[in-house]
Amino acid sequence: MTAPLDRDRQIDLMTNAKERIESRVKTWIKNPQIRASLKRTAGESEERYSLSTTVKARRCG
Amino acid sequence: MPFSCEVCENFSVEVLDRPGEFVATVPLGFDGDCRVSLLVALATEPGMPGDQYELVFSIIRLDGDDEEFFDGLATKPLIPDAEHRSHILAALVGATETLIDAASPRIVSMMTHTANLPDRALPKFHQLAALFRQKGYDAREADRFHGNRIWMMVRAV
Repeated sequence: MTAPLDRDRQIDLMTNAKERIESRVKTWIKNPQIRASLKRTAGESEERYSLSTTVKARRCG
Repeated sequence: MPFSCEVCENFSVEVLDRPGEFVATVPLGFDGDCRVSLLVALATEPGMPGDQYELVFSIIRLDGDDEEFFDGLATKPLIPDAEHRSHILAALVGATETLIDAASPRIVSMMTHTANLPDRALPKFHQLAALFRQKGYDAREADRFHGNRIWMMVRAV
């Protein structure tokens, strides 16, 4: 396999891994939807409604 | 108070997504009154091509001051029971498989959060790389850099 990321990019990712991963995880767990999902109990998913968005179509013509 | 484990053969994975991010959660149990859950995510990085994702995972202890754990050595005091840890590893692999199916990423990278991890802390990374191979990816570890490890997975088809 040809490496999908060149060596410089690999080193950059490894060098910054700790800070990047911690920052990403902190951002995710502050998100209200993700936080609610983390705090649910096992089996609760079946009881919950999922979120969808309705976009009102513009009238043409 | 000992960790109260909720995962056994069965576990509950919930996936939330928005463009460039797929986040899976698995409730693991309780440490006293605090909820402990697993977070696994496939996410693109700003400035990188949209088909290149990074796999990130962490165990989260949720209370007023959330605590994130990124490797098995750190979680051992929280979850000391070997059987519980084995179930949680299975949940990590299962949640990752759910994310692969949901995101169908072309390229995925995975890195150790902590440098110079001992061999006993690495089986989960090897198991995740093996999972990607089972799902049709060419998954390999590249050369280390100052004790940091990186795996790269490329979808074969």
